[in-house]
Amino acid sequence: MLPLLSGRRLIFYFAAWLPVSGLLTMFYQQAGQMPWWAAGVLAILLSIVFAMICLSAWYLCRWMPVSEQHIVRSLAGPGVTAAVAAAIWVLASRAIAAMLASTTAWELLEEKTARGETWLWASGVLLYLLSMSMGYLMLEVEAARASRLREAEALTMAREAELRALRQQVNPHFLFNSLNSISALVGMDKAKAREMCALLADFLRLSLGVGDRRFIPLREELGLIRRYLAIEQVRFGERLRFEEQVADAALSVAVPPLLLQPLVENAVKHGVAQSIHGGLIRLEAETTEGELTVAVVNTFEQDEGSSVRPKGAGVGLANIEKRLATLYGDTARLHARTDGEMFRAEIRLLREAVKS
Amino acid sequence: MKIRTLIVDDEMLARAVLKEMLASQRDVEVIGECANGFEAVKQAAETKPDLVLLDVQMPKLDGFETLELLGADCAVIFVTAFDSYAMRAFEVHAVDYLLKPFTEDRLAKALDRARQRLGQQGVRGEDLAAAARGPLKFLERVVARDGPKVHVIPVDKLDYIEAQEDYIGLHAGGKTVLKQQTISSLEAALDPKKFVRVHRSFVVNLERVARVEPYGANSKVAVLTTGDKLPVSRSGYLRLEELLGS
Repeated sequence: MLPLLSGRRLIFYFAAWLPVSGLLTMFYQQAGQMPWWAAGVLAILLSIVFAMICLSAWYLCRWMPVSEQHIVRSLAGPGVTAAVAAAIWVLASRAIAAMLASTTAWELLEEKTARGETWLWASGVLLYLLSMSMGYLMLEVEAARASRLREAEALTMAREAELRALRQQVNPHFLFNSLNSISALVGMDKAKAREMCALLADFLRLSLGVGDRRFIPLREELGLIRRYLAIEQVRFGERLRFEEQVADAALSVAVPPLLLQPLVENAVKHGVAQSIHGGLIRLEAETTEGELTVAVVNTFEQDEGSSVRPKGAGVGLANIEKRLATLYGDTARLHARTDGEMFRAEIRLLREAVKS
Repeated sequence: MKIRTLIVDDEMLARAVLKEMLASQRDVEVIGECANGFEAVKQAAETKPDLVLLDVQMPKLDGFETLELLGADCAVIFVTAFDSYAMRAFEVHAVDYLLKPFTEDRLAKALDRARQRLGQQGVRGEDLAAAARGPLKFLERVVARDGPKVHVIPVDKLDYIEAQEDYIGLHAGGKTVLKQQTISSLEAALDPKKFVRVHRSFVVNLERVARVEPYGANSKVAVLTTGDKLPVSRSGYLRLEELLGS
C-alpha cells in the first residue's frame, strides 16, 4: 500500500504541487502569452495529472533499489522512466488543451501550449526524478527505523536470555541441598562445614558478579564450574566423579557468562543424581583454527521415567540455543547427543579473546 | 516401647543429620539407613519399621514409589529440599514432611504427629504420586514388589493388566508381575489415549492390539501382537472403537 494514499498525507502531497502550478502559470502566461486565468486553469490541471503520474515513482523505488555495485544501471532506470513519464505529461497537455479549446473560446490555446512542450518535458523529467529521490529517501528512513527496531528487539532478547540464565543459576534445589549438607557437617566436622560455607559463598559471589559482563574468559567460567562441582561433591560424595580435558589455548577464549553452567547442572541432575552408583562428568575444551569447542559429557543410564515430576531437560538446552543465536547468529551451535552410555552436549563458537 | 525408625535418603550427609538429631529423641531407635528405595524395600521387609523418614528425590525409585512398595502399615515422614509438586501432595493428604534444612524443633513436631499415627492406616504412595503429578499427567512407570525384589516397569512396556481378586497382574514382555492394587486405580493413573479398559478385568495397551475378532454368538476378543487374547465387553468394544477410529 502506498503510504502517501492515506487521507491527510495525500492532501499534503497535492499541496506540495501548488508551487509547481504557480510556476507553470507564470510559464504559460509569459512564454505562451496566454491570459493569466487560462494559464492558471491549464497549469492546475497539468499539476494534478503529473502529481498522479509521480505517485508511480514510489513503486518504482521499490522495484529498482539503488545498488552501489551497479551505479550506472541504478541511474539509468529512473532516467528512462522520468523521460517516459514526462512524455506522457506532454501528451496529456495536448489533450487538456484540446479539451479546453473545444469547450471555450480560448484562441489558439492548443498552438500556444504546443510551443512550450520542450520546456514542459524537461521540467517533467526533473520533477519525476525529484519524486523518485523523495521516494528513495522515504525508503531509507523506513529501513533505518526498521533496523533500529530490530536492534532493540535483539537486545531485549539477549537481556532476557541472560536473565533466564541467571535465574536458572541460583537453582533452589542446589541451594537448599547445600544448606542441608552444611547443617549436617556442623555436627560432624566443623572445619568442613566452614569450608563448605566459604565454597558456597564464593560460588554465589562469582556467579552474581559475572552477570554484568557480556563475555568472560573460559578460565573464569571453569573456575565457577569447579566450585559448583566441589559443592555437589560434598553432597554426592563418591557418586560424583569429575575430570577435565582443557587445552591451555582455550582458557582465554571469550564465552558468555554461565553458558556452560546449566549444562553441568544437567549433567549432575541426570548423570549423577539419578543414578544409584553415580556417574562421571567430563569437561572438554579445545581450540581449532577459528573455533572454540567446549563439551560437557556425562554418563547416563536409560531413564525409565519418574512419577514425581514431569521431565523438563530440553528446556535448559533450548535456552542455551536461544542465547547463542542472539549473541552469535549462525556462527555458534549447540549439539547434544547420546552416544551409548554417554550424553554429550557440545558448543562450538567463534574464537575471540576477551576484550577488556 | 521404642519407635523403630528407618532413614532413607540417597545423600550420606542428609542421613547423617537425621541420625544425629534423632539421637536426642529417647523413644526413637534408628534401625537402619538406606541409600535408595530398593534398599529401603528390602530392609523394611526384613525389619518391619514403625516409622520411615523418606527422601522424595532418589534415583530410580522415588519416595512415593518406595512408599508404594513399603506398604501402608508404617508411618512416614517425607523429607525434601524443594519440590512444589510433592509439597502440594503432602498438603492434600495431610502427610508430614520436613523441608531441608530443618531444625530439631521442626523434626520433633513431625515426630509428635507421627507418634499419634503409629499403627494406623497411612496414606498410599500411589495416591500421593497422583496428587503430585496433577491432572492430565500420567504414570510413566509402574513399580511392584515380589518379596524383596523390586520391578520397575515403564508403562510403554506393559502389554496388558489383568485383575485377579485382590491383585492385579502386570503383563509385560511375556512376564507377569503381581501387585496389590485395584485395576481401577491403576487405570486412572494411565494415559487414557494409550490404555483402554476393554473388560471389567482387563486394561490393554492400545499399541498391542492387533485386531478384534468375534467370539461366539455375541461377544468379542481382542487379539494382541503378543498372541494373547483378551475378552472384550460391549462397553469395552465401544471404547476401543472410539480410540481406534474404526
